[in-house]
Amino acid sequence: MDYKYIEQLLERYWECQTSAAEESILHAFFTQEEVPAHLAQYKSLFEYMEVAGGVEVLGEDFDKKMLKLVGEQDTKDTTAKIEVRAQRTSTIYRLRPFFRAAASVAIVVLIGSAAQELFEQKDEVQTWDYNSNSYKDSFTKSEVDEALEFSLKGLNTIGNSLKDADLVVVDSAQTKTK
Amino acid sequence: MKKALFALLLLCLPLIASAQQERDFATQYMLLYAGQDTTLVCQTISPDMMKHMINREEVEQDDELKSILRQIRTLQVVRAEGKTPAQDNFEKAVDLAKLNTQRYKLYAYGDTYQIYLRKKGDIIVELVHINLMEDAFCIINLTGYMTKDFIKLLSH
Repeated sequence: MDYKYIEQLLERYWECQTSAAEESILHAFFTQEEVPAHLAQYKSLFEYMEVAGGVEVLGEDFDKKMLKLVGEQDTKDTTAKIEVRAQRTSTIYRLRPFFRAAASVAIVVLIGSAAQELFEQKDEVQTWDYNSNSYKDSFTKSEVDEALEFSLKGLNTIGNSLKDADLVVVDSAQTKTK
Repeated sequence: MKKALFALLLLCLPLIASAQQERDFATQYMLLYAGQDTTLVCQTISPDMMKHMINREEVEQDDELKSILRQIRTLQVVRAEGKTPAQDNFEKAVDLAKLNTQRYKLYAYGDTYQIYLRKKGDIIVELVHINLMEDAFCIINLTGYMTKDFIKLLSH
C-alpha cells in the first residue's frame, strides 16, 4: 500500500501548513491499530494529541473570580456609590498652624536668650545671679546727679564703718582681729 | 490640646527662668516687713542707673571712684521713716541675716552696725551693711561683682 499521501501530509504538518481537516486525517490514520513500521514513530504524537483534547478557554466569570480573590470589585461594576461627607473642624484644629508657629518661635527665643546670656560677659552674668529687671529706679534718668550723690553717701557710710577703730573683722578662719 | 499647652509652656519658660533668680537682702527684708511697718522705704539704684552714673564726667575723672562704681551693679537703701523703734528694725535685719548663714557670712561688726557678705568663691556678690546710728535704722545693700580690693578702696 502506498502511504505517499500520508507522508505528504506529515511533511506539511511539520511545516505547519496542514488544515484542520488534514490533521484529522493524520489523526485518524495514526490512531488505528496497525500503522506502517516506517511511520510508527509518529503514532505516539497523534495519540497524545487525542489525550490532550481541546484548547481550554477562560470563562466569562474568570475575571470576577480573580478580583474577588484579591479583594477588589470588578471595575465594570459601578453600582457602589462614593459618599462624600463634610467634616466639621474644631477651632483648636484650625488654630493648629498658629500653635506650631508659636512653639517654634518660643524655642528660637529660648535658645537665643540662653546663648546671649552664655556669650555675653559669661563670668559676671553667672556670678551675679540677680534679676536686673526687678530693680526699679527711685531716680529718673534726669536725676543722675542726685542718684550719684545718694550712692556716694551710702558708700561713705560703709567706708566709715570699715575705717572705725572699733571694727571687728571676722575672717574665714573665725579669728577676730581689731 | 496637648500641643497647645506645650506651646504655652514653652512660651512661659523664659519668664519662669527669669523668675527663679536670686533675691537680695534688702528686697527680702522689704517683702517680709514692709507690710507690717509702713514707715519702711527702699530707694534703689538699678544697673542701668549705675551705668549712667559711671559715665558722668566727675566719675570718669576719678579712677578710684570709677573702679568702685564699676564693681557695683545695684545699690539699695532701706530706711524707716517715722517713729518706729529703730532697734526693733535693726534686730529684725540681723535675725534675717543670721537665718541665712549659708548665704550671708558676718564679715565685720561694730557697736552699731554689722556687715555681711555673700560670696561666690573670691567674688563678693552682695554686701549688706545693717546700721543703727543715732537711733536711725538703715540697711545699705550692694550687689555686684566685687573683690577684696573693693573693700580696701571703700575703707581707704
